[in-house]
Amino acid sequence: MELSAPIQHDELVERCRQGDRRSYGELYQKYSRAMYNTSLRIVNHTADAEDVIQESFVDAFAAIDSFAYKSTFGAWLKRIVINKSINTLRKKKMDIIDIDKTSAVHVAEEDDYDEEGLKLKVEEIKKAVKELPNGYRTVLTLHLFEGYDQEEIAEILQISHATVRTQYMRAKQKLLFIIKQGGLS
Amino acid sequence: MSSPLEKFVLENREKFDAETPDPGVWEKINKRLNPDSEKATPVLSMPFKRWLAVAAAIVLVGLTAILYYSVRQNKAPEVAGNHPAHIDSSNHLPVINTPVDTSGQIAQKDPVVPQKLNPVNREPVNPSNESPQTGESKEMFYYAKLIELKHEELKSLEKDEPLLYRQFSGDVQKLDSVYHSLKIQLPNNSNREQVIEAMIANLQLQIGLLNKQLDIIKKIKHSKKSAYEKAYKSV
Repeated sequence: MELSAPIQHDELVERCRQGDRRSYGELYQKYSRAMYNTSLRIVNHTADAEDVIQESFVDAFAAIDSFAYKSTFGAWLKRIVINKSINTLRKKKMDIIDIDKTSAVHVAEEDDYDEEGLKLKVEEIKKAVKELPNGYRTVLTLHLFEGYDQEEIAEILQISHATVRTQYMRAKQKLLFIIKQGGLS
Repeated sequence: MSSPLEKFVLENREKFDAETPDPGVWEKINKRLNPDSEKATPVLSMPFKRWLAVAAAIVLVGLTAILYYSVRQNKAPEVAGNHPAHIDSSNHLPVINTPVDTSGQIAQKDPVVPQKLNPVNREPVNPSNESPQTGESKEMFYYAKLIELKHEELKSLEKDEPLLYRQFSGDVQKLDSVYHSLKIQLPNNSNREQVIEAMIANLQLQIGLLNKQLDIIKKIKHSKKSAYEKAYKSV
């Protein structure tokens, strides 16, 4: 999420740095919804996601002076949220890498499902994402919704690029499969 | 980002962020920024108003103490520590004295002691035979000097924390203005000893306040550093 152009100073962030209490509230209002949804897609549990954003904002506010505009404030905060979300999954001993036992023998690299033919709807995609196993869901979310590339995801999850790639392929297939099934039933 | 699914998500990205967190989440965060409700909260997240409240409380205690000492009659206050309980006030005042060389040093920052008190008496101080009264004048000088040093230290904060600095120096100034009004009272007051004691008490309070403020700054600096390290590790 690094940008080559210099990042403009965020006025709201600067006011927080000067100790303006109200600006903390404004910053929360500005980012809480996006951060909550990001976390929710990973942890898949509303109370856990709320805990994650609570911890994330507290940490971010405490470290706001160290925020160095290497990215936007939103990207910086999002990274904190994502790390905490993944830690939440790990604490619950949930697998970050899913091994799809049923289709371990063969996973087609090409899309098995005709994406063009599918009528995609926001609500259906959201529902299907929730049904994905943790590992698939995390990798899929980080790329599809948060826009991280393979290398960044590999670094965040501490897994190899190749694993990221295959996990993402499988996750997407599974997602499309769920959507298709949902559409038929 | 080429497949239909990816394109669709990109085009409708906003709609995927439709869930809203419980309003209680902000309340919890806000509470945790409040240190008296939670111990584990880092020092930095102690809200700004709290620090102000602490400083204000110190000022209030100070003013009360000054009032107490200036009203109290026929008893030498204990603030001065090792002074005898009863000092002949007629004898007492003339010796309020600051040596000439040292008065020049204070004059820049705190002109009160040398300007107002020096003219009262120009008797040289006899260091070998130090009476409690000269001890008192020395004490005043000592405090004034200490306050000056602490002011300098506080001033270094101005760049990093302009709001906090303004508030802090405002609090000190409040005390200082009380000091000045005492100083003005001094020549006309029948009970000079009490006024002088109150002035000394005021100087001590100023030092106490400055110490607290510097302490707070130290804590802030420390917690900023540790918060940075913590955040850095977690990212």
